[in-house]
Amino acid sequence: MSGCERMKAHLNDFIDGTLGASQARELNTHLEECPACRREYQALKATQELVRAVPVPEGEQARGRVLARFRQSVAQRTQEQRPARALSARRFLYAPLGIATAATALLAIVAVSRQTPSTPEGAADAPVIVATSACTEALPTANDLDRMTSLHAVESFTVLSGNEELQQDALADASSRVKVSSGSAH
Amino acid sequence: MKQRSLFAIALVLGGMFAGWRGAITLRANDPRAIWRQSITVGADVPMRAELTMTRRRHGQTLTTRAHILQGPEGRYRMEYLLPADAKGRIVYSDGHTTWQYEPGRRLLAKTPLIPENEQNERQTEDLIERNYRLVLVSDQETAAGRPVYLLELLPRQADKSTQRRWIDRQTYKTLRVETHYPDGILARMVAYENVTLPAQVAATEFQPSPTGTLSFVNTGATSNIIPVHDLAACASGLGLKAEGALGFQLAQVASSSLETAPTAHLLYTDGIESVSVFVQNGGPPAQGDQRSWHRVNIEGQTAFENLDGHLDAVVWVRNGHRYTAVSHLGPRALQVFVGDQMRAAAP
Repeated sequence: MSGCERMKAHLNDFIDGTLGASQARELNTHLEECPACRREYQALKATQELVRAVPVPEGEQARGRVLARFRQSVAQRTQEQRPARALSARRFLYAPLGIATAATALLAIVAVSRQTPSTPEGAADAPVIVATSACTEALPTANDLDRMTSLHAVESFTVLSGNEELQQDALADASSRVKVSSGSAH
Repeated sequence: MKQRSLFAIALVLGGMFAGWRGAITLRANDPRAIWRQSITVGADVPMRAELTMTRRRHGQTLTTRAHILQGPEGRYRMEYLLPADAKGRIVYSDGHTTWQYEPGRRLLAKTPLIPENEQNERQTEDLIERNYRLVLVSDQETAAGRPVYLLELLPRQADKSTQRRWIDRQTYKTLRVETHYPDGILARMVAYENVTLPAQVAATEFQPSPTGTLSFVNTGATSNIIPVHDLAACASGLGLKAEGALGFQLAQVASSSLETAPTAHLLYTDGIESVSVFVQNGGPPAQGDQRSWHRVNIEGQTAFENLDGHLDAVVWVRNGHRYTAVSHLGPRALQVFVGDQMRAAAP
């Protein structure tokens, strides 16, 4: 992990004031010297302040969960070796991937999809087509179609080469109708 | 004799020089190189502009208009002006997460984006090369008042759309994209006007600025991409083909939790366009009892089509699974794709 990446991994704790004194000093010095990290810090701070300003219906406990999840996701991102540039992406996932867990997941998908819809032992991590009950609706609900549109848009960014604007618009349109319900704020 | 020899030498040297000049010109105006620059260098150039997008629906053209600010690494901020029901919508992305402010509902929606994996540009280019012919139509055009290259992507398969792309000659920013159905009708358009390029953009300008009481919601558009090393076997297990019609290939598999059921999400691409197929456990035969869906016959089988949304959708039920395909492809091409997949699922 490079110096910048190591520093970025501590940004959340720094903003929250939970970083140790010596590390905070080190990070502070780094931020004064590194414009890229400073920009990341300012963006993160502004976004966290925005999230903090948003009232979450379930109260303080849920707000804590929101922030915890947010911090976790940011920490994961900053620790990733691969840069995330989903919206200007021109990458292509042929996924030359071959790890043991992947093979297990694949086998589970294939096996389960050919079986009766019950969840076999060991397939818990293969959450596709392992429903214990069939769809009751022959056609997707409007909400599910919106969700599919969003998922298509988000994942298309991983394989598209320069068609992002229309996917962004489709995502925004679907997101504008998303339901606000208890438990959705996370 | 001596004169003829000198003439021959001159001819050879002249030919070599012309060939060299030609090679230089070809490299400088190589459509693949221009294309590559536009999706790499050009995508990261900061720009301030007015964005207009159109899409054809039921014989009508629907328009989206927005102020847009683009920065490097996937950062952007859009403030919607049209359609009327979206006016005031602000979408902000830092390249990792998209935040969307809906003024009418006082809603702030969050969508995490998928981190970029190692890219395989060679394979992307191979796929584009296999499915499209890139042609430099002109390097003398203008778009948004700027000199541009005009590229055309001609599909190698019938039923697919042709794309024209206007790419800024100075920065390689794409300033206009038109997609035409095979019959020549304009299916979609993305155009930037009143362009400031490259723009001086402060990081703070990307930040969302809604105030007051808001509801906060995660859109739930979150997938768990499954590392699959045998995509063909995976697709086959779900009753689908990895090598689809019209040059589409299965690129990734994800699991997603929808409202009604756990779902497998298979994403296909031809290098330019993409199609998603969502697979769920099937229910009873489709009845088509919901508005927006209408019955169609594909490969002698009943399916249902929905052309009302931003994306076209086709649903069919087969062998205990319900399949939903969604795409920007256009109704005709999507039916061709679905018909081919139905053959794969035949018992």
